[in-house]
Amino acid sequence: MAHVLVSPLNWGLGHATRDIPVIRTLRDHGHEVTIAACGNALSVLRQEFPDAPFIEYPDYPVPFSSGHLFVPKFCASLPFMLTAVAREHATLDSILAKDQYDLVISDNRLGVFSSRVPSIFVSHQLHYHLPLLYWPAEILAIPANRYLHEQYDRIIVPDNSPGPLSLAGKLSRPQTDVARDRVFFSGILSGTRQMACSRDLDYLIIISGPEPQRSILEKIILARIGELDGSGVVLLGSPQGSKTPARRGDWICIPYVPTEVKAELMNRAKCVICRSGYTTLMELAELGKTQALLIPTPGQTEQEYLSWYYRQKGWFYSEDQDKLDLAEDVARTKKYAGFPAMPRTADNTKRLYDELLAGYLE
Amino acid sequence: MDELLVSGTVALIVFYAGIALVIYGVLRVLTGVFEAVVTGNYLFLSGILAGIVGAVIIYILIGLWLRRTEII
Repeated sequence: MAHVLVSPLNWGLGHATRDIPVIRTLRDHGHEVTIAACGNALSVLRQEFPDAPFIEYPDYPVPFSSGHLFVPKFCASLPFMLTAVAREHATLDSILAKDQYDLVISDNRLGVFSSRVPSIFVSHQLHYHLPLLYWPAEILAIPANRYLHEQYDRIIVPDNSPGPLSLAGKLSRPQTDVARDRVFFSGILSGTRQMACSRDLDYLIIISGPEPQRSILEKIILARIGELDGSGVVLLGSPQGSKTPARRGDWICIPYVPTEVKAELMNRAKCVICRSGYTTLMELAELGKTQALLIPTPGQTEQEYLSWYYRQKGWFYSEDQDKLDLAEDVARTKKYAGFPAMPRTADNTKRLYDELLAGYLE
Repeated sequence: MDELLVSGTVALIVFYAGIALVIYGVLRVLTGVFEAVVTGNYLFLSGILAGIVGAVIIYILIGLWLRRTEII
């Protein structure tokens, strides 16, 4: 039995939830998994694996801006990020000194790697996408990523191999020899499972993401849900708000639900309206959803790229939040085919273990 | 000192120096435009403006080419 340290980044719940099937697979094979995380990511994994050992391991704040100034603000935050990553790296040394570990898995935590213990990086972004005018920064990010990837033994990309089934498009394309030598395309990894339940919900609207964009989208959606025929649920993604669901005609607005309830609602929904975060998109793929309206968070270049990419591929329709016309946009989603058939998480985690993880653990 | 910190600091210094150089260049050009307007040197002004337009077009074309060739 080997001992694995799994450490997801706490920028939203996406990193933690996609690690759930990986952690589950490791434990199913009899390995001990210690989870090192913080904030909501730690809470979710604690809930999922209550008997697993946990370490409170702080990371760094999200450098997202409140509007379209993501790139300049991100550039300004780089020295603080660097200091935080160096601190994170130093903390890992002390964690590894206290116990014996056979493998470290870092989900997008840039400082979580070790020269003493084999280290694996999990990311769907081997390459960053920026608006065209920032192309020099995109070029500069290539050597920076190369340096980062060199610190790891392997890189798990939760996406299909580059080609017609690639969910992350150019984001998961290896740009350097270092990335090409280390990359393992695992296919989608989602903590959400298909459930045997009826599809009795016309719409599920998931409002999420950093403030103030979350509140702005909430205001836009709540003012316009009356335009849609049918019933639905709006998840406000606001754990700090009122805990009581509110009824608005045929709609129910729920401030916050646990991940298991959200998974059930996603299973029941005929049409999902949500942000174009990569983990949510993997959930849509896992559940075989064919009808969804994607609304990228303004200023988040990754979400903007994925929305554009899916529209180009004819998979899902997307619209900017300030141009939303729910009735018309939902009608347009019906002309899109959804993701093509692809291997699901259960098959992917099995292959991931057999072809990659077992080599370090058995 | 941590290798990560050293490499990162060097990269950031180079990065910010590049940004400072670009800002300096933009300010110099804007100063040139302002002086040309004040002195009424419209031939020089036209030259600068044509240069700016040309540089912007080339900059965008390079970006588009990088995208098309999948370098970025």
